[in-house]
Amino acid sequence: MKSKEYRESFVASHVSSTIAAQIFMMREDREWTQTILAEKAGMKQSRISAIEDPDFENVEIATLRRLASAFDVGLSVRFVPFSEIAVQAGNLETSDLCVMNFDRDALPMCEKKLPIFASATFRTNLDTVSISSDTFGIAGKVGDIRASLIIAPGMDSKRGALCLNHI
Amino acid sequence: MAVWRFFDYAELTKRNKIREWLDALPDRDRARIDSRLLMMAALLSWSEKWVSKYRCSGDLYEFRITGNGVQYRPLGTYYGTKQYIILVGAIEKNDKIPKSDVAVALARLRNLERNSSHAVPHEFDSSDAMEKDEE
Repeated sequence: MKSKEYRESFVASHVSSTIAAQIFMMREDREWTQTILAEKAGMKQSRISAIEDPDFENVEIATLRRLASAFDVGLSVRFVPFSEIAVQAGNLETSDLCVMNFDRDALPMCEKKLPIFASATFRTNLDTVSISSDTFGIAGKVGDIRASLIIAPGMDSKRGALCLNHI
Repeated sequence: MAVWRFFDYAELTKRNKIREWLDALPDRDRARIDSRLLMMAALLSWSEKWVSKYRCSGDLYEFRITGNGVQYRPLGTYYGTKQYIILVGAIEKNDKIPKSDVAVALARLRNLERNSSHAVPHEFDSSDAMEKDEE
């Protein structure tokens, strides 16, 4: 962020490309075409196409609110220090961009149908498997268990949820 | 963790041709390219709005980034799984990418196929430049 010109331009591009990326990823995640999203948001398909262009910078907050409503997600607009933008842009993760709707958000972590970032299968001869944090545990018969690391949007990847399931 | 990794084309003398190109651009335009690449690194897949195949060439792709009245069209190619290499920094003139830039990109692509040392990791300057600002 060497110069004011750089900072201003970086922020402008970061805002427009974040909006474009999020709209595209949330739409793909829900398997909606641009036409379907346009109908749900009460907009024209051509407008959705324009907003999904990372160079498009003329999106009004009212339009974002309509899109948030169509996706059934929240919307946060706030001023931040440049340092926050730099850190955020440099550490962006896919899970930060694809936001789940209210119904999925309200489910327990293991049922949110989030992308599984890592998984492993192991065999146990114990009747009960538990993790020391007391957050997760599974009781059942001896057999194979699959452990899956699930990371919710906005969650630090080092603090994802671990789900255990008997296979 | 980013999904995609970007590489720059470098000469075997280690001169990074893409970094040289970027460093010669106005701050505001380089900021746009930096921001765009950082966002693309986090996307699972890229739509045609982000990257499109360059016509007349099977292996070249172009990024479309609007600067201050300038249409930047860096040419590159997919380089392994979730990896992409930028081969040349091009600027559109009269709605076309200059033929000389396309020729350079194709020549560099051939060089890369012969010697993978031409690919060096792309480095972003937005975060460390922040530190310079604080000095």
